[in-house]
Amino acid sequence: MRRIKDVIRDITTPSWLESVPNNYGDAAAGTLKADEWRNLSTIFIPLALISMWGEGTSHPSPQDAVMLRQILDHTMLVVSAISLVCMRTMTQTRATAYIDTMAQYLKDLIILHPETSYRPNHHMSMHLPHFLRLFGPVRSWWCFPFERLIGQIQRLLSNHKIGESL
Amino acid sequence: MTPVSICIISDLIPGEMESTLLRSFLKAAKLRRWLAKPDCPPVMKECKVLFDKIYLPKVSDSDISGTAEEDTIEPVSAPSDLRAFLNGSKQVVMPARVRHNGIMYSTAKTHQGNSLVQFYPRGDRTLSPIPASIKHIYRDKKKTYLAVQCQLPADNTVVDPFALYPYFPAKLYSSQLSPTLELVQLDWIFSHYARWNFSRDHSVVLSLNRVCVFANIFLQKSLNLECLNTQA
Repeated sequence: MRRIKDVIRDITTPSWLESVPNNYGDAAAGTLKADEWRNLSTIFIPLALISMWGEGTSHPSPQDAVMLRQILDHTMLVVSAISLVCMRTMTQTRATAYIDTMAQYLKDLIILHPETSYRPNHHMSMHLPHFLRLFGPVRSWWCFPFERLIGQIQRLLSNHKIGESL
Repeated sequence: MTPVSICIISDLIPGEMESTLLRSFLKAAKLRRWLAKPDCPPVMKECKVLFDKIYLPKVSDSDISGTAEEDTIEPVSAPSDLRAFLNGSKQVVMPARVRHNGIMYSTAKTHQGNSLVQFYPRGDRTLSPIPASIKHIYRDKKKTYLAVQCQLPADNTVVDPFALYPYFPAKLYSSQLSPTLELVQLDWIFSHYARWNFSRDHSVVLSLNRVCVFANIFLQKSLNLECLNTQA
């Protein structure tokens, strides 16, 4: 966690890249927006994890090294899948690479973390390549415009009494 | 009182306000899409200019065109490291930043993050983009050029832990920048990159291009991997 905060604080990025609060993880930081989550999971977290657990790092015992490396490689599968699926241009090769990466991630998930079980989201992630083929890059059909509308409606003042006159 | 809050108070029918919001949201989206399309009539394009003036976040003119500001900048005495590119002229116009295709690029002194660019060497798109930091921006005969310092390669002795992940476009470089300047045209730029000091001597460079990240960098990465595999 400290390493992730170090990365967020010390990284040099262009001004258009939405950063994440420096105190990410503290209660005071609040919750992240979707774009912040994406940057966290495709930029800050992988940099921090690879620097701690990747090739060439040292650990107290060889067992630890093997285990952490497995977890890192597994996490990198989902990082790769997110990066691939969010690309602004989509090709058959990318869609195939996405499904291969995601399938490997799901296969390893229950081996590395036996306490977990598959969720509906895991199942749905397997359907994304069909939509990529049908509709192109995710930016043209993801739900964020609607989420923005929901955000607008949510921010409106109301007395939680629908349909009553004041 | 805003029109929206009036609507809340006067609304007696459940869901009507929400449907009004939804409808106006969809109409706005459709209008924006129409204005952005090439077959939109010129008359409407004129309206778009007005809409942009009213609703877009305020950006100074110089940021939009990249030229207005430079026209008003007085030429300054060229720094000694830039003179080699200037064909003998001692005075040069040096803006601190320039906008190209809507993206802002700055000198490292102005904004370090906006100065980190990957560019195609000599503009050749078949080669891998090189990461570099913009030291100077200058104008010569109405054209803007960047004088950049390239990120030096990492020592051969260091293992690059990022090379193992083909879809994560990061690569290890030296923390040092090359002392010599290189000339880059704006069209040669591939994208911005993020840089993090991985260790005392090394930095990791992460490409932020979300369009064609994999084209060249990964070709090189996979070649490197193949070398590793054959060595193993």
